[in-house]
Amino acid sequence: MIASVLAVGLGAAQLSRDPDAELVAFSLGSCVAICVWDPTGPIAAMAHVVLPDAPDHHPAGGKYGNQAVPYLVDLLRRAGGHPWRAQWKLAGGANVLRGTKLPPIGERNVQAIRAAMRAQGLTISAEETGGTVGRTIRLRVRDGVIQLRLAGGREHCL
Amino acid sequence: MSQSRSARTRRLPIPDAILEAASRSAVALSSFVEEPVSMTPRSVSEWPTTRLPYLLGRPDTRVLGVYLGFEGDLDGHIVLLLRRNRARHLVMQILGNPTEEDENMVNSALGEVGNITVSSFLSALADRRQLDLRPTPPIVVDDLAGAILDAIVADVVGDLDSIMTIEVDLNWGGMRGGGTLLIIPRPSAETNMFHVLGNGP
Repeated sequence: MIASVLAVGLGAAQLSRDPDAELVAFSLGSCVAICVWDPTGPIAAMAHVVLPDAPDHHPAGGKYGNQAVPYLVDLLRRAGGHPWRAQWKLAGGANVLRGTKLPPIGERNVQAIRAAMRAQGLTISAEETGGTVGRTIRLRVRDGVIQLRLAGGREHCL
Repeated sequence: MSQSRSARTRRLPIPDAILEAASRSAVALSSFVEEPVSMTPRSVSEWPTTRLPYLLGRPDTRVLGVYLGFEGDLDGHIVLLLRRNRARHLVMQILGNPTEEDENMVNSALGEVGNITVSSFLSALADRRQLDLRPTPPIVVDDLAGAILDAIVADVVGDLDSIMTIEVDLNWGGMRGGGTLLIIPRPSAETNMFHVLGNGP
């Protein structure tokens, strides 16, 4: 049973060791949730990435794809986890406002995260990115299950 | 680390330009539906970007969004978010309770209502400040509020922590509805939203 719901807001990153908690990124469009789960503990962490690359000297955090990966690695290590043993999954990066002049931020976010993971020697164990529909992402700390709920109401696990 | 619920919204005075623009939107809508429509700005707020999904209440609520970009003396984005069920209900009144087969007509009418509202609003602001603002064609999206807005925030807002939101009440043939309007110019020294509106807090 989920006793605690920890909302991970735009640009934020959060970690939990509470097996009765879940981390949630609500209504992602072009944003991407990086979900990390280490079965030892268990420990779960999530970053809600908004943009691909941080400007120079920007403080570390979850907002930028290139910073969020090393930031999560650091969070996990400090909590006693092992980033290279953990499962890393991505969800989000949709193009909801298709047909506009907006740049394809979602796609760029995903590319930046993939590059940052390669640089850290990490692999993605599952991914659901792109498309044209918003998603809410829930990561259960107890077993690392990720539940995706699409804007139309359809739900499935990643 | 931050959490979405920790940030707070801040109420702001309602600028005269917003009142005037809402009034002009209502006139345009009344003309379209051939019935009196009133549009009243209920509040203007500074809304933390971390809490965007909560703009219309529950964070996973589906909303109807009407989006227009604008270019000219300023460039940026304007979005009207409507609670989906209420908006549909209003439009179905206009169409005389259409059947399920008329779904496309309902969506088209919703888009037109949103387009008229948003275009008139933008036009009124442009006239007041003597700005040349040219809207792009409208796009109507039925999705989660945060999902509609996050690409705009990423494109425009950058490192800013909040955006300005305008809550509006619509009264239409005895039916009441509401929505949230967001006007998001690309930030620069010239484009502070209160500068554009002509009177700040």
